[in-house]
Amino acid sequence: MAQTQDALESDWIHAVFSVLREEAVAIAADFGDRVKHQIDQVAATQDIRPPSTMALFTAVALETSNMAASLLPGALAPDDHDDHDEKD
Amino acid sequence: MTTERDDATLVRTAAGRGLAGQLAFETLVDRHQQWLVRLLTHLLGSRSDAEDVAQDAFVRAFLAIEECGDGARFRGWLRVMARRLAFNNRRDAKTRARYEEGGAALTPERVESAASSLEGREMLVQVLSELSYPYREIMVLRFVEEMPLGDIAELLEIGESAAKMRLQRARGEFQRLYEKRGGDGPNARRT
Repeated sequence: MAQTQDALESDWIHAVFSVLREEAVAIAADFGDRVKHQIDQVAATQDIRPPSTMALFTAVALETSNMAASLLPGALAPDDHDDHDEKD
Repeated sequence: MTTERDDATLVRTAAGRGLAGQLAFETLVDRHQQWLVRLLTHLLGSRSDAEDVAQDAFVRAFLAIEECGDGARFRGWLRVMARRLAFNNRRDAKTRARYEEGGAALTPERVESAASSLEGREMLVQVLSELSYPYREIMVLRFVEEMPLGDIAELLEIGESAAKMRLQRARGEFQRLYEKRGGDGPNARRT
């Protein structure tokens, strides 16, 4: 009798949970890309493999924009640099 | 079965490292993200937290892929890692909640109010969230993931008889809360 009750409860719970078993969770559209991007970064920084072309391209683009920003008027402290240049 | 064999091949390739290894691992990410996020969503009660933990689990798995051993058991190996991270995430969230005045944590009164009008899936999720974490965890592993008791015991790092007892108590508590919220229990369905 106890076993029958146990089986009954088990069937009942299985039925109640079927809705969760059968549903597909709506994952964020960019979830896979985020994971892969992080893996890409980790792989490059952990020396697991050389950085991918895309990672290199991103790094170069970032460096270029930093350089461009530093060349904008007012970005340098002219007096300090002029002094150093003269001393050198 | 084919999937398991494919996982083994992918894990071997990933363990070989290099770009080919990374691409192989990315295939594993595509293949396993759905069930992993689902499992973590039910454990943590938040899809956003589940995605964060799943992402962390994938990255850690990538870094430690050589330790996976039999690649056909990649899913189980990843599940162990994710389960530990979920536990830590929940513990950290609990700590944060203690310091956040008026946080989202539901008081018993608010739970009562929130659950009173729920039905079906929403009520199920609500009742799951009201269970203590060990009970919720074992209910999800058994009735959503449909894992055999022996595998659950192994995952939880407890004996099989302890797992059986925990499951029995969790079921009892689940049923009590479910019926309290107005859901039909096993006896109601029989009639």
